Amino acid sequence: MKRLMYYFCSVKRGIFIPENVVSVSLLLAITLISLIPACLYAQNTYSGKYQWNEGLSGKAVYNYVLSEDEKIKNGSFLFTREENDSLDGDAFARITINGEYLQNTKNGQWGYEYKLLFPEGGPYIDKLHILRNTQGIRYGVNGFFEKGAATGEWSALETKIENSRVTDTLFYSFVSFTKNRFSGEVISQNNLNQVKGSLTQKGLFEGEWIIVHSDSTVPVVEYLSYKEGILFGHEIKIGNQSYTVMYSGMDHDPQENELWEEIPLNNDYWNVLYFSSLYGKTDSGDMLPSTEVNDLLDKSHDLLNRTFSSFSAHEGKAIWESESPFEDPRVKLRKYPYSDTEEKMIGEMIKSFSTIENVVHTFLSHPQVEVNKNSDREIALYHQVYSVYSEAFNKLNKIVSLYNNPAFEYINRQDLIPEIFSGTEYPDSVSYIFHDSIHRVKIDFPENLPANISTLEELFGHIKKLQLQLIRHQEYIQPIVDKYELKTALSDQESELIEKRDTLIYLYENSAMNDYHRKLADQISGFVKKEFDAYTNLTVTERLEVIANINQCFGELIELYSSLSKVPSQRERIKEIYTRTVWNPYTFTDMKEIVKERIYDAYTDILIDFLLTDISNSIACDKIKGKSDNFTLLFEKMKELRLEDTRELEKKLKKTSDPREILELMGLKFMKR
Amino acid sequence: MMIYYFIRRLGFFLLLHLSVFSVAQDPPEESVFSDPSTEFWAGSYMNFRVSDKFFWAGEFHLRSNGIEGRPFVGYMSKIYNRHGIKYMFSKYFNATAGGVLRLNFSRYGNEGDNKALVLEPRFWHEYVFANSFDRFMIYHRLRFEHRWTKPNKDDAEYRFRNRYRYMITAKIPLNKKKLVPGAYYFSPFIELIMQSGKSVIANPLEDLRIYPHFGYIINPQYSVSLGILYTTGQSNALGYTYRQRWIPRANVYINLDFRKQSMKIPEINLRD
Repeated sequence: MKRLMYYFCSVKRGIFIPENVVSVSLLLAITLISLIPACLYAQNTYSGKYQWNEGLSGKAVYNYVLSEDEKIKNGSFLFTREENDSLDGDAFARITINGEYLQNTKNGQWGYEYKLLFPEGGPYIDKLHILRNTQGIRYGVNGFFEKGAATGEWSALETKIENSRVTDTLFYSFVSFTKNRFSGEVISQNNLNQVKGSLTQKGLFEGEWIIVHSDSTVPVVEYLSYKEGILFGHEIKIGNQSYTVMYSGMDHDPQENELWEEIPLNNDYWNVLYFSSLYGKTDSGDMLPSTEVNDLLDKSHDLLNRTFSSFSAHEGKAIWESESPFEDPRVKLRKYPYSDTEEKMIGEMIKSFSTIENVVHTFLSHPQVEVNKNSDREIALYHQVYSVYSEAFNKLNKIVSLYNNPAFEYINRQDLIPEIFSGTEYPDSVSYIFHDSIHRVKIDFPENLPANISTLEELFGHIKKLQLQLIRHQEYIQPIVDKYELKTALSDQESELIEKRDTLIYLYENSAMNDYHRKLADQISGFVKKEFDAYTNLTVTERLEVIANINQCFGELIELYSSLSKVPSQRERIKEIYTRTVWNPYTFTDMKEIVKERIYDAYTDILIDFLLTDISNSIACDKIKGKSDNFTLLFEKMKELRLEDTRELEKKLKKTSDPREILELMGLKFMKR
Repeated sequence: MMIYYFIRRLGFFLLLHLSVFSVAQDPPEESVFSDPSTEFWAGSYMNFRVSDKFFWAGEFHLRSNGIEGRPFVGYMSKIYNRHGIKYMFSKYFNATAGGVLRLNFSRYGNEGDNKALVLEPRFWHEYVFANSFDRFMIYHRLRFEHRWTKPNKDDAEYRFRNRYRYMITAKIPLNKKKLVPGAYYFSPFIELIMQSGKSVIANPLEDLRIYPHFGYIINPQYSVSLGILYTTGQSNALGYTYRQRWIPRANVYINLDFRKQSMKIPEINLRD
């Protein structure tokens, strides 16, 4: 058939031209025209690299037809990806996706399979193969696409592999799709929990959803009753006890003029359930605390989430070409929308609350507060005051954090807030212990915020007042804390100063000094002692101002010692590089001689002494660094001059022995910073 | 070839003179040593380096002779100019060739048949070998001179002679381990000068010079020495008569490097 088509296609291209008979020509023309689409869509097979989606590449074999140079997938499709390099140990993973395309649209049965296998046991021979058993998991999704939309019954299944056999089912989910939308019966189970329920054709939760939790000794069953996506009943049966979960702020009875929204079964919905579920209660009045209710909701959340997401993703990676190929199942909630003013208020309130919470936390955890709260009366008092604020913030945070969550817009705040907020309880005064006695001080805390706040303005206003109050407190107490901090910093710096002073005294009084050290030793020791004594006579504030400079000064004197230690070796080095070997034709021997003798002599006989004298004449903190650097500058200059043509300089040096003039002639800007 | 020629001639004349002595009539029973005369030599020895291998070598002497009542410095007898180009084959061997122009002055000026000044030209070439030891150096010098001489007389004619000189000397530092600037040294010095030429009949041994001296190396460029030279050799007239001289000598040695400045900069020491 293919050959026949190629034949006619060739005819179309003009190789064969029938002659003479018009009718035959006409017939032939009609035949050819009818064959054009077939030629255009001649079936081909591609086999090679393939990018299935953004995060998944591999190899594919598929049939296609060409249309205007574009490959239109048409027919069977097989994608595989194998990997073991990126996996730990000997693990081997393989992803297989196969199905049918019709004109580039998935149409027919499709399957996704992921296998992660580890070799188990040693190799063995089977017929002419050397094989090994495996253990691991196999995950598969199977279902039907019709014109690109998921349709009919679908399944997702994760099994455990041991000894190359399926030994356990770890997870399964059976669902139905109608035009890419979850609908109909849903059954899902993992190794701990099971869920069963149904969805309307529109994908809304409908009827009774039963969730069985088998992870505790007593069987727990949840019954969630939905009607057109609206949750109107939630019961939890633990053993023989049946608890009705009490919700507050979540409406289940739609009325006219109310805003109801269909939303996907996402985190917002679950947050609405968490926030508004208060507790469980039996007919006889036994209570199930909200924490236990929320624990069960957590498990249900996880299971339901996986029940539906397992068809579109596996371990966080998209199974199909797009990340959201299917419409999520939906629920219906009443919305209590914020006005524009409220939106603005919420933003500002959250920001303010975060700021004041941070201020209080920073104060209470400040090391200086911790250390001085028993010795400083003011800090002891404010530690207590801030503790009161901290306690109030814990309560306020419950509501403020709800306002920070988008789910809160689906909850009737006036109903819920009184249920979860007990109001603030600022005292008129605070008591604190100082020097073993209790003191009481009246504090102007803001007015208490009642439990039954009816508007956001009340909460916002309260937080603004708190902020102002804290600013006032901070203005008073922060300088006190800062003072202690500075004192600590001063203490550290003074330790450093004493250490440097001792180092200097040791350095300039020990026997390891060279001649250059000795020349300056008395002056430097005297200077250090004098500076240190002067420092000790300063007030704390004055000390804070000068401590950094004195530390730097003493540090530079230590560096000067180091510079002076290098002078002998520098002199030796200069002698070495200014010495050359010449052959004496009279004695027939090599002889060493100093070259550029005037420069060399200026260095050894004049300049080094001059630099030392310059330091000893006036030791001042602001000049030590520069004077210390002079030795290195001079040394480097001498090295440079050795390589330069210095005849002119040598001529000029003949006429002078003034060190400043020599330095200038050598091109050194004398540093005495 | 020249060297070979002169050595052959030297051998021939030594042989000839020995045979003459052996057949001469009434040979003296012993050599006669005339009374020693005195002189004073002040000299400068210069080596100016002009390239890595070549030096200009120069010697300049002022020599005075003693007279009765004024030994050593009686009158200026000679001004001695020696110049040459030295090629340094290695640190321990070099060769020099050049010319000498000596100015010989008469004690009597132009009085009578005396001639106040006579020029004495020479060609010369020498080969110096050095042996280096831990504490001293030994030097061997072979010097060959081809000279034209005549007495300070009006009617005197130049006569050509060749001189064959071998010198062995050493420099032994006294206050340092090596010959380095600041070193005083002692130098024993012996030179034998043989000669040949038509006029050389019974006096092939022109001079034997023994010159112990002390020196001081000021720096690689300058050294000085002071010593006393004793010489003895056969006189022209009677071969068995040996003249003797005592000559204090004061010398300065100058070594300068006239290469370009850049060539004198040593290699950069990469130890930094």
